Amino acid sequence: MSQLLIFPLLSLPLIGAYAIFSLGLVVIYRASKVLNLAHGAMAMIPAYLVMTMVEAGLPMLLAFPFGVLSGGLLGYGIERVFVRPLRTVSPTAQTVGTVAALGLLVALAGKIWGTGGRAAPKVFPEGQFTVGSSGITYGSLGLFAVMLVVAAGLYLLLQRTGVGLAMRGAADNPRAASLMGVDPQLATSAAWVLGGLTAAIAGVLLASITVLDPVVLSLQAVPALVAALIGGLGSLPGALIGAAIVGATQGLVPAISALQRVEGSAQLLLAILAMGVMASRGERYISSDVRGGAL
Amino acid sequence: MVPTGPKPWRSALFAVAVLAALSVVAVEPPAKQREASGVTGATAGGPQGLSGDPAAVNGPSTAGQGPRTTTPGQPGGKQAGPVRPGTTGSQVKGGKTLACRAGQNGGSTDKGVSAGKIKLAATNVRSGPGSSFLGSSYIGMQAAVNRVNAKGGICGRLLELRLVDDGWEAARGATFIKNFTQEDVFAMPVVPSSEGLTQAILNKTISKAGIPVVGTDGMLKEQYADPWVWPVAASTVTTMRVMAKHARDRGAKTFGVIYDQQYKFGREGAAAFKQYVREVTGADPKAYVGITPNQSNYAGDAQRFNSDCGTGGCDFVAMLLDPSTANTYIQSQVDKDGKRQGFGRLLTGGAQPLFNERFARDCGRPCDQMLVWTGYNPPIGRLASQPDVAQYVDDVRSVSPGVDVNNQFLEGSYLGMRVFLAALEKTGPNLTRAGLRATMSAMSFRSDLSSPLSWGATRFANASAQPFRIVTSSGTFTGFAEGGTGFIKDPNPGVVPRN
Amino acid sequence: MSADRPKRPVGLFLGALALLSFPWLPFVSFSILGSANLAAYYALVAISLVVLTGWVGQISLGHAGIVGVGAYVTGHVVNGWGVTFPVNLLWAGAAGAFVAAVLGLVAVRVRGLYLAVATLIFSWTAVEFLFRQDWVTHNSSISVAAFGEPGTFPYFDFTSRRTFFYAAWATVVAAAYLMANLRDSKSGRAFFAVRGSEVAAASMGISVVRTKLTAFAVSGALAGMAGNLLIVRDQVVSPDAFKVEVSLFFLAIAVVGGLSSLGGAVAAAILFASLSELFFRLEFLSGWLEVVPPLLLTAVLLLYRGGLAAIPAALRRRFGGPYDAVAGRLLQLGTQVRQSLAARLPARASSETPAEGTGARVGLVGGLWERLPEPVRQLTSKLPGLGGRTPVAIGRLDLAGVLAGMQATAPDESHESAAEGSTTGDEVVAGWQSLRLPRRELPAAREDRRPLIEVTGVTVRFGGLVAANDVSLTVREHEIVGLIGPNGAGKTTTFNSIAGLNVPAAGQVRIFDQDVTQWSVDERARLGVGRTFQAIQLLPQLSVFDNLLVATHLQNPSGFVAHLFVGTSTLRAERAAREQVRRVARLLELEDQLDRIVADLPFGVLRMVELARALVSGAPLIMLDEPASGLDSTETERLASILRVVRDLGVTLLLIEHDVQMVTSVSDYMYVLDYGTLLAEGTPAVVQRDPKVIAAYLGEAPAEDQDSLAGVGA
Repeated sequence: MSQLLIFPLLSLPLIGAYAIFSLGLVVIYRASKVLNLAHGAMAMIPAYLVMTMVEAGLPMLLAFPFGVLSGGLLGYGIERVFVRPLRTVSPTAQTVGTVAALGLLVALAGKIWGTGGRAAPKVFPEGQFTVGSSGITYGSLGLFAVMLVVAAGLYLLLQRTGVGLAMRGAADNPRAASLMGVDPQLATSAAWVLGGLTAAIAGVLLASITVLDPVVLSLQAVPALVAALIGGLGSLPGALIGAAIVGATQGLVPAISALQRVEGSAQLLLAILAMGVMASRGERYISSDVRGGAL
Repeated sequence: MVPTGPKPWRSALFAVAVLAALSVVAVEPPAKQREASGVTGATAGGPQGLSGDPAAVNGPSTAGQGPRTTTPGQPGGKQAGPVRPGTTGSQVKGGKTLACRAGQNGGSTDKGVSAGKIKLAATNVRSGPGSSFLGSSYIGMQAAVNRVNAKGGICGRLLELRLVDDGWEAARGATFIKNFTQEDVFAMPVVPSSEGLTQAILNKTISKAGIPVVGTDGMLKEQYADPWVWPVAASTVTTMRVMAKHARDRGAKTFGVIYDQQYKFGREGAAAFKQYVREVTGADPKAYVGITPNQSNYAGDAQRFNSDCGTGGCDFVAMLLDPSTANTYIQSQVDKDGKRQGFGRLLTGGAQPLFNERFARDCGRPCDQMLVWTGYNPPIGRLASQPDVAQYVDDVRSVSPGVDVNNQFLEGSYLGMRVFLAALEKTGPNLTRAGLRATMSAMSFRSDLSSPLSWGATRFANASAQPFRIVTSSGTFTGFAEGGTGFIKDPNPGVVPRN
Repeated sequence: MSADRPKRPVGLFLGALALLSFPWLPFVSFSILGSANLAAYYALVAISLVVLTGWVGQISLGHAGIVGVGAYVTGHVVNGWGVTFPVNLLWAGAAGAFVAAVLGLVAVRVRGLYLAVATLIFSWTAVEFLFRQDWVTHNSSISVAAFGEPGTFPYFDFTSRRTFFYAAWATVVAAAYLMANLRDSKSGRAFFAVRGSEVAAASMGISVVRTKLTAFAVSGALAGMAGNLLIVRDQVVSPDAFKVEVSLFFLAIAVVGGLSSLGGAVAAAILFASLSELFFRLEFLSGWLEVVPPLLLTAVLLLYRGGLAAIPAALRRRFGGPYDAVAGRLLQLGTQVRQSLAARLPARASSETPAEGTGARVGLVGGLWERLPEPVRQLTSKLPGLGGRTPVAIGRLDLAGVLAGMQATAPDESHESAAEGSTTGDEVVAGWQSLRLPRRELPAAREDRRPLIEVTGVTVRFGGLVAANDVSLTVREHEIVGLIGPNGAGKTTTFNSIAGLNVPAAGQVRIFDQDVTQWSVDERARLGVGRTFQAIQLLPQLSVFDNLLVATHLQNPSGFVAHLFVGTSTLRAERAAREQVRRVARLLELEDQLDRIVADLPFGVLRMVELARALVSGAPLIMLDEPASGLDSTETERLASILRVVRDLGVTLLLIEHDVQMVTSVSDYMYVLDYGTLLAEGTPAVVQRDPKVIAAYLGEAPAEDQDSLAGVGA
């Protein structure tokens, strides 16, 4: 019995990381209609920066905020350089722009810090809570707790403040927004900064409990994307639910002995789920105001 | 508009900025052979062993045990074994008597060989996942080459070593190796990147080209099957069997292994482990878990391993993983009763990829008293003062001062290169691939760096391994300690199970 | 589709020469040859992306997965069944096409961003799951990479880099040739139409679903073949070669090449392979190779969107002169040779082509389709848009015949402003102003004429809003019906239910006496309905001629395979299509504009082009969505006369408009809507005076002197 409880417990850090990532993805999507495929890179670079700072002697208490800020800066930079200039083309072209950003950041990180995996400095102290015959480390629990805080913060920000309203409205109808005195570009940039900040938080925490590697960490964006998609891409609670599903699936599937023998069965299940959700929500291919999705 | 004149401070600023940018970009110098300064021609006779003096070739008798004394400044390890007829330091090529010195060595005796140069090439791993333990191998190769070049090379020929990074990818490495076979390359020493080498062997690139590959790390079984490849290390299968035997001799009854199921070394080693455990206990290992490397989380696999071993855990656990995967896996395990789960109740063993400081440091407390295994003599404890070992440390530090000398793949590449250089030396001025091959098959190499090596019918030159302990204090790694057993022989040498 | 098309054969010839002689050039070392082979692999993948993402606009971030499937399938057939090179290429292509088609089934439900994500997820799943399964990868190392038996004559050992070079590049050239044929054919035009505007494409009878699936299948086949090249080249593949990052790298190659250009794709592939060779040579650059593709991708996206494909045009603008002269001369030479050769070929007997416009399928694939047993066809027709309904259409309008028939009467009964240049044969009377067409013999009473559109009791709801409430209207043959009403009256909604853009909650729409209420836009188009759009839905980068040519889709009986291997039937169909376009262009006085790019033309002309497009399709029933919006009074008048001419040619028109004056002047019958309900109907004279109608427009009871809607809305 306790065995069955253990797996969800062990999935908590995964759920936490994916939740923060997909929340950030949804915030960015809602504010700019762009899928930020470089989200993982926005998590990876700050993690490396924090590691470098800590190795240079800076205490984690200082390094962590600097790292998070660098994520926000990165978010703004990516939007400014890779996304905004392509706005006149199409959202698809902008998404390809984020792909270019991803490639560049991963290559640069590999060049600067090497491509082998490194151990990242711990954020939370060593130790664990014992649960039955197993337990959960402080780091994992901390990640989950931080995720809850981030989710709550985002909710308050987006639902209860003017800034949040602006961010939500700017993408839906930029013209109307600007007529109301809201600068849609500012709202978009703010959303990207927010996305970068949250990605950095997730990146530093996740690296501290797993491994720091330019590629692995950057590609965590894909399961996060799956999570956001399952949740419908448009809503924050949806993103949380999607993250819970993705994290739990990855945690639970190894427990089912029939599935554990098949490598990658968790990913297959998630992919089928995501495709199914997308297909069922897909619009009829014709709508009267459709414009080509050309690059 | 009147153009303003040049502003000196602006150009100075610009120059400083450019210099700063360049210095940031400049990474470790390329692994090209650095021309030793002041190279002269033939060296005088004496202790260098290159003069063709028969006494030097035979060397002092090596029948004794313990640390051997060698003349300082000599490359350690004289070749013992039968002297080939005619190799009295001068050879005959086409009627012309050749001497082992510059200008008289017969010039271009084979592809890649000229009067003053021997061209060598190899693939290595400088990027990607394997670089965490294979990334410094080039330093070992470079160090050995530097030493020889500083003394004027071999028979007056300097060694030129070219290294190319293939990221440990099989197809890329095989392509590069194929390129080498078509270029002016005499031989391929060490070749730290085993995945590509294996593929080249499977494609018969190496045997078709007849290019000698000497001093490889023996990670994968194909290296033992090709007539042109001479591995120098204790193979993965040897290490796994020795580990199991060692644990069994200390009372272990239940066994578990966690291995890399993507790269070949994991699958081969795990199969050998399983086969041996079945042989000596009559049952398979209780836990036999393959994991995909470089994932971010192994919680599920960790749980599976633990439940396979049962509540008490397995008596002996072997870890056949690369360092970063191993660390991520260990982090996915939690403590129970103050001890990290997933480790052996009695003993835990890590294979050679885990024998380096980075792994030990990143692991910390959970790895305390874990044994890591190697086929060499690392600079630890009393072994550090042995002449060849001390020289190894000096040589590699002269190439890269901060390198982790405990990394056993580094030491292996140094040893492999030394073996190769010794064979070149022994082959003499008439340097041909066939001649090198003949030398290798008859040669036996002794040094403090490992137990004696010789390539018999099975080519398993190094069929023993020894353990060292990871020691931590207050959760921090403090160093390795001797394992207290010395080399243990492979109980089933030459056996390679299908995997 | 671009200005340098005429000079292309010269470039191609030089390219072919370079390719044939490449392995023998002195500077080409063994490793350079290896990189040239890598370039062939990249080129094939890039071409597959050009077809899918460049031409049809379906973005794929998952092509590495498809390439991997091709590679592993090749491994299986080689090791398992000993299938040698050219044949195992077909296996790999088939596997790739299949996987891509499955992916395409998802694509038809999602668009744009979602499609990008779907393909990304596919790539991820392929690496995490599919390429880790032992049953997939146990044949990842092939034992034989040769064709034929050693010792016998045709023996090609593909482990030799030179032999492989020729084999690989022959594949690339063949693929490029076939794709070029495809691009210039009806299928290619359908691709571009779908990319530009799905709804406009559907209105011309192009099945968007089938087009997308075809594109996915073609692209998948090419990608699968690329995978085959990879495993034959290296004799081994590992899952590393098909990671997600590799998909993104492939997209980078295609984008750097210019995304829509075959030549650009090949050039970009050569560029990237050369870079990898360069970085292999110069060791101090090692480790920087990973930075280059994203850097180039960024540069092209932000700075030079045309990519490599735009460079020749730019160069030509700068340095064109001498090159053009030489190339032109060579081209002339080539044309002369070709013509003299063509003159010697015997004329081919015309193959069986069914009557135009019946919707029956022809060609290899179409013919196979017709031979399938009925239950199978029924089954596939359940799949959205795949089998589909192939209605017996009323028949396309034989514009040529009609215009030719007018010839006999034109000179004597022509207007005072006589036409010039009227000739016999197929040439049309120049200038529509001079046309005075005889009225057809139609029943006098409107009710006796055949109804083409019957809308009965249609109600359309959007959420809680009832946009159209129990609307009924009829459009009878050979008349112009106008649908008017104030803003928000539900005109567009009703129009859209007839066009197929929404499905009514209640009521029925019948067109040509078929219940089309649930039919899709392209199915209705096949029945014989054409339309124009209020927001111009033309392809801006193409010329007017090319835009109009797309509309000949339904009248072109040639099939997909015929497009790949251009035969006489395809050429004949192309000629007929081009004739049709010129005919309509002459009619609407657009001949001078035919070669101009749409993006450069003024709005008024584009409205005409929209109308021309509907005419070209030969639809006997055309729906016009606010055709006069944005036109000034002169242009509006001209439009009205043209509409009358079109009606007299035999086309039935339904239009919605805001300009009441224009509608009343041109319609034979009118319907007025307000707040979603039908307010009035009748001839323009009747409707104009209807007090309800006047009140609806002016908001109050009419004033004393206001007894009509004259002047409203102009």
